[in-house]
Amino acid sequence: MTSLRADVVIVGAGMSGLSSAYELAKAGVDVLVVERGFLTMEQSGRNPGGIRQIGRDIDELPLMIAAMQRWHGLEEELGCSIELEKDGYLWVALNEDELELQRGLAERDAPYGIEEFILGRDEVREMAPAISDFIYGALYCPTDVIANPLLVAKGYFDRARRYGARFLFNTEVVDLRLDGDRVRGVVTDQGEITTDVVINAAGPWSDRIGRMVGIDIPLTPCPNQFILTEPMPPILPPFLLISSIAVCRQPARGHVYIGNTNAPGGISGYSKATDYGEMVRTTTNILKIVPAFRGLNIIRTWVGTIDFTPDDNFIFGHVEQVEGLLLACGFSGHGFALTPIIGQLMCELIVEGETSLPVDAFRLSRFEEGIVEKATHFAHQHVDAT
Amino acid sequence: MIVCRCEEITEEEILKAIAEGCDSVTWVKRKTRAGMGLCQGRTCGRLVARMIAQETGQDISQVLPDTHRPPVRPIPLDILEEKGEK
Repeated sequence: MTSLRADVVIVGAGMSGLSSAYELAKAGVDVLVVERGFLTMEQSGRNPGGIRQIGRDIDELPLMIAAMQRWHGLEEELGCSIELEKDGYLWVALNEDELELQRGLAERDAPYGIEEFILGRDEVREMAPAISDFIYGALYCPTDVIANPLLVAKGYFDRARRYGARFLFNTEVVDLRLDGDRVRGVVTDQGEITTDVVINAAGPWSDRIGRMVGIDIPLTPCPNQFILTEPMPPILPPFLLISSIAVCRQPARGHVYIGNTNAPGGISGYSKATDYGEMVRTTTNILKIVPAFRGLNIIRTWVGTIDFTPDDNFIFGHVEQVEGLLLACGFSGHGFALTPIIGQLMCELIVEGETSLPVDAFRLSRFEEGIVEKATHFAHQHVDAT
Repeated sequence: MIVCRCEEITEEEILKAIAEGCDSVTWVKRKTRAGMGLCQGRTCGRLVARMIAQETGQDISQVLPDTHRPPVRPIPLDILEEKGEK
């Protein structure tokens, strides 16, 4: 690597790095993405592509609504298919308590203009006959969508490059250069890059980037495991959420994706090994709810790493202690859906100095201020299916 | 001509992906679905690697294969099901 410089260096070519690169390059900013591996090789390319408004943290909701508007125009904007499917989200409740929680969320979200419906067992089964009477009811949002993360990544990448963004793959950041408390460069295993602005979008490894300049970013890596089956005729149009148990989607192509839900307190770490016990747990539970999947062949399993923060909300914006360092990390399993808005807000913050939507709730310093509360959305609702 | 029989991906589609910069078996898979079907690239993976080598001028030993994940062969979902009193 000969001596490089860029106005902005982005660490990580996952979703938030890619959408930031795209928006910044489009705005005419000279941007360089440094990626240890390859395009969207971690959770950004291993997640099931769910884009939901239901069950969001209240601070995240306005961002998600704005993101949803962008999603609807994204195929046109990026000039490629992202396999956007508009069949909604069905978050099933397994008991009255859970349905009550969902009722509260539906009422909370109504003023935001999000269509959410509480369904009884019979209504759920009328809409999705494949679902068994094991469930109690559901919260249904018909305007939630899914997309194919691999195509989204390629679309952002191609467009970002067309606007002039540069990418260095197989290049690992090993240090940040400071001048006092100001960022002056990035040291990689291939050489140095001179820059005044660094975006830390390194997913579950963002805390390592922080440590290079003495910043504590509290992340817990947790494995998120998926089972993929052979295709069958579609019987489950909406994206299925089962609290603390599984997520499941069957895109139009017919393959069934079954993912576990795992949060701090369960299994943690960076392991990508398929966990047999988790496969048994997830499969046993999903077959209670969609018995018609019984007999389908599993063709692949994989594991990604989710970066959970103490309050399940992501971390965004400037870091007080280090001028020129910005964060977009700790997405806690809901980063993919926010992809379009994260890039937009990052670009606004860098180019205009302020964002068009409030992002203060996502500042890193909230963890030091001791005002962190566990989120009330679905990831931490523990319901026993057995 | 079909290269990936499971997902019915043609030679033309794969050549197009390579021309667009997909220079590993994984990237061709992610772009075209070649290798995402029932056999998980056990049939087409080597063909795709050879096509990448030819088109990009790399030695085939330098073309990165796709990652292999369990199960080795397709297994029915319900083999994993715990059947109990619950």
